[in-house]
Amino acid sequence: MSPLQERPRAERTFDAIVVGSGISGGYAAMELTQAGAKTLVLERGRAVEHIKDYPTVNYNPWDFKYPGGRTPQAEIDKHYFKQIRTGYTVNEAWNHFFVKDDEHPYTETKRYDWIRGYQVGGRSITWGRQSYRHSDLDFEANLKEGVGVDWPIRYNDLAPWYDKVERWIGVSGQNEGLPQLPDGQFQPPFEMNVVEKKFKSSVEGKYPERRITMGRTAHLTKPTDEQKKLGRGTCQNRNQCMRGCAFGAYFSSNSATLIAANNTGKMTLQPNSVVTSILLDPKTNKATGVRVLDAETKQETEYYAKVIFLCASTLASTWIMLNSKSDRFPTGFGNDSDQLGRNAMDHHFMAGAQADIDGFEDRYYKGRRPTGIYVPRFRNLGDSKTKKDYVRGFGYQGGASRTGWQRMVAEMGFGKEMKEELETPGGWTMGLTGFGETLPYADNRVTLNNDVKDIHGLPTLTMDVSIRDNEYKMRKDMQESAVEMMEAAGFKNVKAFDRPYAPGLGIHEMGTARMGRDPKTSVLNGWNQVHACTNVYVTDGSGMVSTACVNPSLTYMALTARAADHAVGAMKRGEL
Amino acid sequence: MIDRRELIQRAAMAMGGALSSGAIAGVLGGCVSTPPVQGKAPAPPRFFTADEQATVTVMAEQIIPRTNTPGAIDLGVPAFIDRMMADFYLPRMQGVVRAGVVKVDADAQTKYGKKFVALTSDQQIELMKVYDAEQVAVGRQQPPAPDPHFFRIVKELTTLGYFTTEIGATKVLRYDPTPGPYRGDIPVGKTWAT
Repeated sequence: MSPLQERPRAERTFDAIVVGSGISGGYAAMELTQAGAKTLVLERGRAVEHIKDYPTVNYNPWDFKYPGGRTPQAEIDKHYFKQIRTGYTVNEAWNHFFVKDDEHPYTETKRYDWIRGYQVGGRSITWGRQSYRHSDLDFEANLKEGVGVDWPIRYNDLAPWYDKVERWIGVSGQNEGLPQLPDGQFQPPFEMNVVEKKFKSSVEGKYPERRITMGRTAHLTKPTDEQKKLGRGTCQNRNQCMRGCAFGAYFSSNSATLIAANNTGKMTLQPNSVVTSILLDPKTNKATGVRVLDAETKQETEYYAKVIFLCASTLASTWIMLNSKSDRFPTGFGNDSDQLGRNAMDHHFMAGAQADIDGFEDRYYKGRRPTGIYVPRFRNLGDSKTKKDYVRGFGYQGGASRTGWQRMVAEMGFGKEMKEELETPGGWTMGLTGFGETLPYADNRVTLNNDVKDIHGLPTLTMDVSIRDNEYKMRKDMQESAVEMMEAAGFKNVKAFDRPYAPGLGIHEMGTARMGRDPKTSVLNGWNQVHACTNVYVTDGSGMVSTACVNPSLTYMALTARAADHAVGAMKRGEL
Repeated sequence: MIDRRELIQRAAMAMGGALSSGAIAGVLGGCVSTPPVQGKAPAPPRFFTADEQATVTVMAEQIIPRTNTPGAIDLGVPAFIDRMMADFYLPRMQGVVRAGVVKVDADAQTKYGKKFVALTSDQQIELMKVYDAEQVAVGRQQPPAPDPHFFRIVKELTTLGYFTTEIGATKVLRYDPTPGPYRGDIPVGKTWAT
């Protein structure tokens, strides 16, 4: 076969190029192809086909090499010394969906946890699936408080796109009528268990501004005909989602958007294709395409298109831009503002409380529900009553369950009595962890590192990111408020916790190519276009101007759908 | 209460060739009517010595004995512990566990003048209760102890190895690979394995 480079330019030319096939790239691919654009989707990692490439999907507990999928320390030390920091990503059940750190190094000025999945579908295979909308409380906060820059959009700009995305991906949840957490287009919520219901009634009785709701989760509980037609079905409460789902019950690129894109006949999906830079035509000041390194053959090829969607994930898209230097952009693509790589944000979490619950010994549950309860933000809502000594807020995720067969190991007792006791469940426990907004700080920064190279010989990133006073004050409140709610519910042994958190651990990287109204202070405009080169759209987390306190993937998809619609219109109008 | 002879016989079966007929005769106190080891003999231990494996085997069965459901030996837990020690743990933890298991025999000799496996079941349990109390205390130390107590590892691996077998998960506990709709309030029953 002749090298790709020798293929005629026409064969390497498309209407659109999408870089990345994760939650944003998959959505961009679907929207662009359904609008008729011949689209090349470039994925740096290997191919992963829905169901076929989920090798552990039907493993029972006794099928793993080591119980629970535990991975030997020697293997962790060799390949997963950073991925291990979450405590759950390194597991035989899904190791194959995370990068090997020795192949993809990065440098930490301060501890930074970068958890990545390089494959078709990206981290949409392993995401947490919590799906919440930003509100105008979030979109207006920077302007009102003089923090960072103003979002160039407001809730009304995004609301129809949230509607569209929720309907299409399928989100289960409960409408609550809260201004700070807008309602959506939901399939029926999962059920709370008996202790969670008790918690809800106690807390809402004592704290009228606090609401306990079921986690809004991208799982099908009542699939639409459109979803069924794609081969997706109702969630079976296996809670093994990160292995991939044979029922297609949770949303991923692999189970949904990429299948829909493929069905158009307009998509070319090319794995093992590492985009190393964006090509710029200095005469027209338009991007003409991208340069790609074949991960297997190491051959470099150029691909061309009228419009480029960068959806490689926040830091990877930022890396591509930083690595795309030219006379026009000497410090990185579109970096006239010097904001590229700055304002790195995440959600800080792992502060909250846990408790034991007396009673309910005769009650249990059936199924491994793939979500928990959610406590929407109740701080700094704009009135004096909810105002705190910090800005922004947090929501809690948590849940109640009974302890299982593991519970006696650390306690006294063994033998027949222990064995018999373990045959029935132990006491109820409950945990709540806050997910808090992180402010944008210009010196929370990622930069290109030419001294450390990855497996392909490419430069890497250096992270210099930390949380500050506002986040630390909020973490104190996350603990105290969780304790007071559990005490209000009459729970026992209520203990606050504040476990070590480092930026990145939330796996919600955001903000390193922020949107804004002014090209002098932001990289992207209100349509996620690069201010200085409008046929490049960046629609992953890079563009986020603030984090809100809610999980961001739904917002990435809504921004992507909106940007794709804009790009299709612009192409039709001949603007790109 | 486990009959000592039964326990030793089951331990011998679990150990396969690792426990010689002489060793069995020894632990049975000279009894020569030991029935031959039946069934397919598992591979000899890879991490533990034959003596250490014999001690671990008896401890595992004392932690999860055969009742109206299978015991640790029935479900191959001793071999599982050996495999975990050989393949999974790093040298430091291997050292902690081996030293602990060796000390069990030394303690048995000091206190009763016999090897651990030759003690009566009650004597074995008495010694293990001491280790169990120690592992709980070490586990609660503040600041945390640099290493766990060896018995914590043995107990953890016994429990883990037992309840993650097919029989442990599906017959002793209950397991449903595909539960269907989530129900948040049902009458209590057997523990779910996962």
